[in-house]
Amino acid sequence: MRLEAENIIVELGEREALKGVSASFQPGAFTGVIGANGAGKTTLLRALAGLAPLQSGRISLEGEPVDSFDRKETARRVGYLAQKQEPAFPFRVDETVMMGRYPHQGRLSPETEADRAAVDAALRGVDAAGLAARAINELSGGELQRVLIARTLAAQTPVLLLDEPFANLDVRHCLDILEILRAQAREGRTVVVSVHDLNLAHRFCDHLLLLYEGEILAQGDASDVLTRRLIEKAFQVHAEILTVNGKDERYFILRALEERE
Amino acid sequence: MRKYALTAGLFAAAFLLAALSVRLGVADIASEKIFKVILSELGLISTEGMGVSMQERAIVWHIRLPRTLTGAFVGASLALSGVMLQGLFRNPMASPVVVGVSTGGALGATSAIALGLGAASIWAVPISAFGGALLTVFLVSLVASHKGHTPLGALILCGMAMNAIAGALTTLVLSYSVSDFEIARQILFWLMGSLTNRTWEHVILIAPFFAASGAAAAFFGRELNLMMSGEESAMALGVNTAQTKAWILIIAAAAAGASVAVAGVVGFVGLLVPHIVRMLAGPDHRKLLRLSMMAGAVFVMGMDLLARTLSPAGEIRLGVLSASIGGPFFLYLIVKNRARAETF
Repeated sequence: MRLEAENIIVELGEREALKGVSASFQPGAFTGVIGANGAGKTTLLRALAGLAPLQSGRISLEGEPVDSFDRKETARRVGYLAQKQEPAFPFRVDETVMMGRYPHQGRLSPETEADRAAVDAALRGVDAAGLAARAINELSGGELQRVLIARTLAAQTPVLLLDEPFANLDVRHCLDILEILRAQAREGRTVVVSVHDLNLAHRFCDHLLLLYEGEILAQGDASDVLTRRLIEKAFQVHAEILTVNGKDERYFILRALEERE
Repeated sequence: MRKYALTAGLFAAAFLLAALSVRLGVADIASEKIFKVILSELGLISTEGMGVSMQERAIVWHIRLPRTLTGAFVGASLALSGVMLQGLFRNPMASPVVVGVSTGGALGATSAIALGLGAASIWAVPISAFGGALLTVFLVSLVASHKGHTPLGALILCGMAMNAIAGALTTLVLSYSVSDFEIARQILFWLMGSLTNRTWEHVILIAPFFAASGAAAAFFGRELNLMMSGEESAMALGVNTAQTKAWILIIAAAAAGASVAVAGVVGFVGLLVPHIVRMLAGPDHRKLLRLSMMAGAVFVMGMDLLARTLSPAGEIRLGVLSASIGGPFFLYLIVKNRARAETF
């Protein structure tokens, strides 16, 4: 499903967090949103999920404005996982992931076979099938994060928006989740993820969107966006780019400006 | 089977307490006679010549039965209200008190008694209490809302402010009424919460509100669960949070308002009962709503039975007893579970 933002302006209190952002996210593409703290990554993802009221502009899915859908209709199309840690009450892991099925369920209707199958698949997908019967308040930060990603996947939405889903994950699970999200994109889903780690962003994302002070500084192929000039401007650091194997594999070495010799 | 053990246990306890509540009292009326009275009042048998006196019939049908039923409905309604508000606020401290239901109801009832309306009609005080309770919740949510958003923190703060205002006004009304001993006595007794002298009118007043709010609440089990993961997550998962909050407030206010209307201020049920049930049954509201209602009925019927047994003349009021037994028990639970107290 094609997801588009047209010239959106979002205010947070008195501050304009997004100052007229336009972007288009295509089915099958894995897009990374990068930028410094406060650049507007979270606000952009929230706005795309229909969770941040727009001052002006428009968000549309396949050409239809998102605000013409009710919450449940939106949640059947767009899955969103916030970066902020949620309060963890002692629900079981499988119960928590089942909550992702909410937009597909009627008010009093029981859980269906399809619901259970989606929950199982999502749990297996994040390597958390063994956690199913545990209480979520007793999980480690990384385990909980994987369970919440499973909850988002369980909704089986054509669009996936995840805000910094790797923050609490160890290296292996971080890479696993990236593989899973890339596979979701290969299956035709529209996947947008905010990423801090430029190395991961370059390696996994087809498309990058670089935000700087509420505006898009650059967007396009990962290699076009992650140039030394753009990185130094957007992150206010000193950047060095290492090219390995002659061409496409790049590593970014970043130093604080003061550290520069 | 463990799944239904709690339901079955609570059901058995409710039935047993209801039976004891109708059976026990100053007048010793045999169980057999009680059955006869109930069956005959339901038009199933005739008691003529069966040895049941008019007085016994009146005690069973017009005193003990309405009192028992009112107690069950009051307990179930308060616990329902409490469990919904605790879920909505993601806070085990929430209870009907926090959104102003109890103090608003008290102000309504106190004003009606002070104006002498109590003598005019048996409906006057309960209806004023109910009106006061709903009006307070309405004002609280009106003040707390901004551009169609009702932040839960603002709701709690407005509830506290409204509690203080309504409490002060209640005290003011009471001070003006002190010169009239009878009125002041009625107000004080009402504020203490009681099931003494409850009639079928009280049952008729609370039953429809309890039934409606219990049935409506059943529709919000999933939403309450989702709201526990935070408002924005619930929204992202598809919950219309604004609508859900409004409904939960209305249902909780109606249930608690109706119970304040018929029994006065019975503190602690709405806080204690859902808390215990949550410890036993876990956080799933699809179970919690039902179990809390049953446990609330059991708790209030039990407390009332105890109050009656300890002081047949009625000096120990239900509200006093439920707080003085519930309070220490609550503290005990907190101390016992202190290590995981933050897990709700």
